[in-house]
Amino acid sequence: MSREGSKVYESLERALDAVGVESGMTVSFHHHFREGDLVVNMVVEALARRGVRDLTLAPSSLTSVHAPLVGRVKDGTIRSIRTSGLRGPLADAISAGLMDEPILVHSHGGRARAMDSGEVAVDVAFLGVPACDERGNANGTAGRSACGSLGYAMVDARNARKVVLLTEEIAPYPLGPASIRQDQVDAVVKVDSVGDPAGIGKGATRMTRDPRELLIASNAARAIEAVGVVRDGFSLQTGSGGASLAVVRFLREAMLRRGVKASFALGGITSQLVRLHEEGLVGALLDTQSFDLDAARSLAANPGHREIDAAYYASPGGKGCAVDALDVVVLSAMEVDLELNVNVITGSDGVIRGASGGHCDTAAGAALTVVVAPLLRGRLPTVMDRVTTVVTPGRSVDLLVTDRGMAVNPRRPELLEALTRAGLPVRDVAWLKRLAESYTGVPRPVEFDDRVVGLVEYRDGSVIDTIRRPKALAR
Amino acid sequence: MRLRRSMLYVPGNAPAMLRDAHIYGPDSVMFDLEDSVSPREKDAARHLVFRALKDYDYAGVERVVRVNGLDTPYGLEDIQAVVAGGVDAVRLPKTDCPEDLLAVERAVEAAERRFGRPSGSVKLIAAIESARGILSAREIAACSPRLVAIAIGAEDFVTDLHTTRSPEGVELLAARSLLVMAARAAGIMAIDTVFTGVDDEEGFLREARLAKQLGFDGKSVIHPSQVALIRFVYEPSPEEIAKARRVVEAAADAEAKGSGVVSLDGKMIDKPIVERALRVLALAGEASE
Amino acid sequence: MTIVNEASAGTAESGDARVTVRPNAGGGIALELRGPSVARYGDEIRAVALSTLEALGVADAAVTVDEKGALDATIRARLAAAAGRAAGAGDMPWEAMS
Repeated sequence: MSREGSKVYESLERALDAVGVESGMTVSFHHHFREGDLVVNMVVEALARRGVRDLTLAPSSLTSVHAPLVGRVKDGTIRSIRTSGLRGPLADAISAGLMDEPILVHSHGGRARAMDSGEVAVDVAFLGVPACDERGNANGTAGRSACGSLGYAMVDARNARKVVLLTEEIAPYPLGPASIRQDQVDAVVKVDSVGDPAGIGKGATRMTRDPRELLIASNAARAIEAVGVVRDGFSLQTGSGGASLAVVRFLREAMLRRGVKASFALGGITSQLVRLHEEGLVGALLDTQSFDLDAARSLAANPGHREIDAAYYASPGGKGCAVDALDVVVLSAMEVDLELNVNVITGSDGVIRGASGGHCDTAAGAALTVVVAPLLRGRLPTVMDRVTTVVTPGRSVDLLVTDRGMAVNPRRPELLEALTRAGLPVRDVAWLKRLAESYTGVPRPVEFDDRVVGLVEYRDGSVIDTIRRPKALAR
Repeated sequence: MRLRRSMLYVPGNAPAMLRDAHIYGPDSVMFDLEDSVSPREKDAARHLVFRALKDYDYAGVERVVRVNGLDTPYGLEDIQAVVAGGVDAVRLPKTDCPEDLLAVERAVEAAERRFGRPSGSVKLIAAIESARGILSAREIAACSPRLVAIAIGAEDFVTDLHTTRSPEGVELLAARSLLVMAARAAGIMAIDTVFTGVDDEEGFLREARLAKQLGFDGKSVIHPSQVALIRFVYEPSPEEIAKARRVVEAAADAEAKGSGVVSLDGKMIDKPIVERALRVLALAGEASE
Repeated sequence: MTIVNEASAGTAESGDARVTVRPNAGGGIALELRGPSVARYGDEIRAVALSTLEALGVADAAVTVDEKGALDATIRARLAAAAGRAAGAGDMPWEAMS
């Protein structure tokens, strides 16, 4: 250390010397910098250079910027990966059989459960922060690469045996508020850059203008209103783009029309939700992930906009979490089947390209779970006999809304009645599938071989499905 | 009573748009082979529209095709393709005189025979886009039993007048009114011109309300977002609907009694009032008989 | 219809297909399919292409279909347009094309 009480090391190498990372350890990261993350690649490369091998990588999620990890798997630095999602060259390579050990795909709530319960023991957490002080107090709203909420990182910070903060800026002590606290932190390293602001998020999230997505969103909002959810004090969560986010626009109109205010919005926070909060239409914003600078700014400025960690958000393991208080969640889907099971992790070709994220957590917790999707994507039906991979079980899904009609889970006859009475286009799932196939024809099924490349873990830790290698990728 | 509040334009050379145009709820979809298709792609667009008519289900939404004029190399073959494909109505652009429309009628009639479609099953819509055409609107509107609507094409029309379009539309006032009058005299529909400002919701609503006030039955639209706006403009208020129901009931009562006089609240109700009430109920989506 | 030139129709946009038709005198129909849907729908696309050519009365042609999620109707339309261009045909046998 360079000063009494200061935990600042002059380089990542010195910090690694002090903390001690050995082969076979489990190292963790957060994904608050999204497509702009620089930390995972930087740290893993440094570990590789030191000859560390057989690591278990436990980031909260991975994106296409983590392609260099392919090389780190091949050279033995990384032996296993547990993540909420991945895409790009790393995902393609893993689908093709890159790793001897199947990856583990978990939900956000499941990760918090596993870490808080000790089921997953993290040896060292490497957490990138835009700014921190010399003793390790940090948040996500100060600094050039502001990312807003550090909700995922907070779980790592309290559970990992050792915590290393990588920061772009050492701020004067004491930095506040402290999302990550000095009593959790072992080492601080100043680096040039922890995240590329362009990849972290834009100034404001743009709502879709695609007429089809707006049609889906409008129908979803009408359905949500028709079943009686839009009343004073209700709570909501939506996705961060596409039709799912666009529902916010139409719900807002419904709220204004009815003179109703929501008590809170949860999850990934975008400028649209910030606007509703600042208009007084939504009481509180409970933020695990801030998707744009508006959200990061609001988190710092608005007392009603609060950072929550992933366990508070979605962990099923503890004494109850925020998703249980949700009246409605609007989720997207890559595939939905006749039982309303949802796939958000593998594409139509069977290749990994997506994330489990908070999907199964919110679906389980919310009183009304609405899945929105176009009936067709290109020549592929969204609705099929059986999804390629189950991430969210159909029992958690209440309503599927497409651009060609909606379908209700048969376990919710009261929803069916309310929607029919409102004159909404209700069909059954089988009808939607047939309509899709009337346009596309019936696709030949994707063929997989026996090689298991991934396990999909439900939020409670049980394995809900396996991901196998597509035959087309086997060579 | 077929409504034509919104007629949604779809370029004929856009495969994905052709398939799904009806899902946005327009009363008619209008596949365009004319101004939105370049000369090099006229043949390809014709094939796309033919297949769309033949293969896709439009859930009862009226399918219209704007063909090229018979004075172009494309018009006659367009008519073959769309009649063979099963089109509901052919829209002729730039109709200047009744003979323009009658020539199309003859070509359509021949195509119906060629492809085994019942004679008269293909309707016509005439777009009037010139001063000459507007001044002949009365004759055009009355010249064919297949003609179900006349429309005004403002862009070409104001160019013909040597002026430009303004937000208030004063340069179109006479033409719009003449068109509506010609349509009413012939007992057919009048359709207003497109509003190109896709992002200008306020401007669109202003123009649509003007058109409705002038008596237009509907408007051509170029974007799905405009379909919902038109519906909103043409939607009768709850009070109008309630009043219309009472008028229609009174008319039904009179008919049941074998009386020629319809009365409501002590007042006599003329036939035009009853017809207006039926139109209100149709706009409200309630069956009239 | 006799194919005498090489001609194409369609674009590389999502939902469309680019179809090229070339002469193949005495060689029957040679069909090459490319694109993301071929693995799942290859048989269907092939059948659609062959029936379209038959309806047009094309017996000899080398055809390439490069699709990007195009549905059958689009493939039929693009193929008919390309064949018409390649044959220099003016009028189409619409009644045969069902």
